Amino acid sequence: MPHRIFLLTESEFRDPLQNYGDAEFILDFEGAAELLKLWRNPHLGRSSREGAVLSLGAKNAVAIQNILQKIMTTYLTEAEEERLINELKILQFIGDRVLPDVLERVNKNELQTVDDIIRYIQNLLRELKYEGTVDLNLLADKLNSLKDIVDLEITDAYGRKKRIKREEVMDVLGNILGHYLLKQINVLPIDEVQKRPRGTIRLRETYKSAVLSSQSIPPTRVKQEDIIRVKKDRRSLVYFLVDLSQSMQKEVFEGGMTRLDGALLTALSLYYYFKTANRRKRKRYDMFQLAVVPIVRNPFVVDDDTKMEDLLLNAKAKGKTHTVSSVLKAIEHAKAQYKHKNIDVQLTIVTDGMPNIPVYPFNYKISSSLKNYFNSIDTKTSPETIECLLQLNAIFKHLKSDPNRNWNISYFLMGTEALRKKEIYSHTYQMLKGITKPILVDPAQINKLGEQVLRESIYHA
Amino acid sequence: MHKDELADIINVYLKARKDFLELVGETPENYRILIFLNPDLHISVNRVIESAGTPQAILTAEEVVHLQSARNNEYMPLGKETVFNSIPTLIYLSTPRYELTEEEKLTLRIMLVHAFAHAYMNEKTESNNPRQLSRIYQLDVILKELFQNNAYKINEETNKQLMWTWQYYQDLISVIRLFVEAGVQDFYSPPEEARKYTLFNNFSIEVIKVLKERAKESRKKHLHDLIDEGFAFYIQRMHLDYLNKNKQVPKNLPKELKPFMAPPVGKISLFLVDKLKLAISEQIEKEKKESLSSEEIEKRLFDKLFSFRTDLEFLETFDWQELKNWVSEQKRAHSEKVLKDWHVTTTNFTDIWSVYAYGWTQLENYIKKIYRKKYSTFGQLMDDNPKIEFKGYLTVDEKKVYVFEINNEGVGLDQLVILHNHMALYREDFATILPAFADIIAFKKIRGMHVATLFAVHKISRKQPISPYNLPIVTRAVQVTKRKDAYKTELDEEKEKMEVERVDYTHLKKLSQPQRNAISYLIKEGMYYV
Repeated sequence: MPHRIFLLTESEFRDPLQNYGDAEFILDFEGAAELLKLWRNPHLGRSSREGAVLSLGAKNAVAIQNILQKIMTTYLTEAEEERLINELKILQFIGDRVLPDVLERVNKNELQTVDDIIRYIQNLLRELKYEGTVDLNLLADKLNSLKDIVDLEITDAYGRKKRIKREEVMDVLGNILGHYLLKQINVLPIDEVQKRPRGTIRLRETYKSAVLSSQSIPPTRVKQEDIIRVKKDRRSLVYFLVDLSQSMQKEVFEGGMTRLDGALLTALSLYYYFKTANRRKRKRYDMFQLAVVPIVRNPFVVDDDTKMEDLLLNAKAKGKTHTVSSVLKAIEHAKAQYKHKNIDVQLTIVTDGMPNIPVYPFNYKISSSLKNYFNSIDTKTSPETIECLLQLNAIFKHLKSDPNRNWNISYFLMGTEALRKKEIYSHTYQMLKGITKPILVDPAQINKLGEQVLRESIYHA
Repeated sequence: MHKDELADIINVYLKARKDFLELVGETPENYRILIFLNPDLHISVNRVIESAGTPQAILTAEEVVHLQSARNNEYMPLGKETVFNSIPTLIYLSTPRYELTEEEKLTLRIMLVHAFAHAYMNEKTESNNPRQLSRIYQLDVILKELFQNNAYKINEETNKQLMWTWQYYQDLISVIRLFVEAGVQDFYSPPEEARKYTLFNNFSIEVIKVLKERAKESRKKHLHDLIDEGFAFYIQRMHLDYLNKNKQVPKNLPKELKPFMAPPVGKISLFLVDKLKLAISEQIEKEKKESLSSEEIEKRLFDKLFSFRTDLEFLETFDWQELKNWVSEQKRAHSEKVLKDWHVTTTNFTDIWSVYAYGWTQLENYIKKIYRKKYSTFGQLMDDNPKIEFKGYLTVDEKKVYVFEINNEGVGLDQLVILHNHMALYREDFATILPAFADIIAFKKIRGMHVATLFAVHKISRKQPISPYNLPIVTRAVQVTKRKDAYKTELDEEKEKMEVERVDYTHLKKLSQPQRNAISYLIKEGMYYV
């Protein structure tokens, strides 16, 4: 037989251990809500913890098989042989004694958090100290992999699974959702401006003025004086007011995601949207800033990562709708924090009902025409709610007429199209007359809320 | 162009061929050698053959991940020569670089002669082993092509909308391969006319057909490992003697030869070949009353070895009692020698020996099974300790839950979902492309863990699942334990009574009490409390 030599490269002879499943991980809004739920409640996700134990066990078993083979068939140096023997013993110990125990504890819901795991490992090591069979340091090191079992399992839109650490959840979620929003809407309409070293040119305005100056369409030439540059960018401050009242507990659709989940995720996605948008603009200051104000009894302003994380983890939908005090809180915060005139303030309110807790004492001027409107109609709406609506109207009117600063208000009402015929819509409509119009958001479309908020308030404001 | 770079390797190769010609009188002609300069690739090929049968076989995503992690932790055996005993024989070797030192040349030469012996055996033997292996290899190549082309095509056609296809097809093929091989044949495959509707239907019809064929072929394969190894080690010893005679071997053998010298399989198979040789020469003396030259005896020995079709025929030339004694004798002799020769003296004797003892136990079991139960094919060996066993079913509210026992460590949760989807148990009510929605409970042993896992279809939502991994199923796993207080559920008695009536356990086959406890816990926790 003739002897022939061929040279193969790695592209021709592929590694048989290649992973075909490597692909982009796509998390949809429902998946995000699921993750949020798991994150907020350590009691959930037991089956994923059980799955993680099994996976650890299988990995362990494969490692043991390979080490046995390696000791028999590979020439080893002294150090290497010792290392392998040690690891073998420890892996066997973990596979035979630790993992069965851990699985049982997971079943009994005894291991739910990282703290539980650490305590478990410490107890185990303490017991072993008296037995003295294995290298305790190495064992402690290996046992750290047990922390994987409290990682959260996320499933992407296609059902593929991935585990992420508890402390990374907000970042993962925020980045995914924020980028998703960023893909949908960019802060500046890119097609209208052109970046130049001397400044950003506004194309449409430049074109218009060129048309005017040359008196022909299309313009014959663009003169230097036609060019219109973007004025110094104004900064914007956005307050996102989220309703956390009882009614937000309602499920959006069959399968568990509540209005609250949707609203929180929207808040998170907007928060990260601005974070990423700011990161992309290499400015000394942040162009936009977003703060979230939950509508609760004692409202507070969420304007950094830790507060955000806290809000996401602990927010509960309960109690009445304290919209007035929250709006006042946001205004107070804006006035105290950002004294510079150049900063526009945008109040975005998302609610699914009418406010029902008025604030006293109340110092703004209440509109008489709105009062007359409420007096003239026959309504079942409670007097507190009417008082609240009057107060909100007074606050917004006052803000609109503020000569020192631009205040923008947008008001989102969560509900189906049928809501348009109900009192809640007409009252809100009357309340916002002359200020803005209420925007209806279908709860089933809650995954589009972030996009809608951006489009209808910030972008077009 | 590469001739100069490869000069060392080619020289060694030609020398090895010459050696073999001198030793045996003939050379094998039908083989292919793949020499890796990247040992990582060689290790991977080696592991894939070990766990799936052929170098082209597709592993499940989970197996791949675990093997990758073992590779990253440097747990994988290195430097092992890998021979796939098909026709042509496929030989995988790795060398550190193009230019070789004297020691590396010698190592490669010995390895090549060993591999040639395998190739020679495959050409001469009357066993169906090499032919079946090449058939399986072909089928695996077909499967791989089918898989890659279809996954690629589907991704292309849907503008990468179905990213999951890559992993799904990979898992589908490897899991169904395992199950079909274990004798679980009843998978859902779409009817023949469904081919024209979707690429997926076409693919699954084709794949399941090929996999069934592969299982059939691999079950027919003769058990032939002891003969293969025995012959190769015999030739290798002849080769070492020959080199020694020409003073070409240093006093200490190169350390890379450990994979040939240390493992028990070489030891015992070589010993048995020696015994066979002795028996042959005794027989000749008895018949002819004259002694033959050693070459002639060797020739008769080889012919005899070629004529054996299975390990069973080989072992049956000996008496069982004798065989048993020899194995334990060899084991004892091996224990002292192997540690002295191939391991550092500082490590604990029992630590190392337990590893070899594990290897010996496996061999002993193999020999015992073949000899006592008269197994001659791979299928019989599989049936003796089936990897997957059906244990009957139970009903919950008239919905059946099927129970299986799985003795394989390579099947993970994700993969069981595939099994779950493809069991043809609910053929009549399918709604998606993946039709078979059955609830199953699988028992599985992973080292010290004996686990019961429940897969139950939860509420099937109105939405169509967009990927096979995306089904609304409940998975729960528990440790099967003998402890009586292990799983006390917090059900109040009245409720429990009611539920017990709704669950019917009468169709289950024989199960242990802890297994039954695990099942009832899973049913209660999984079906009612999610």
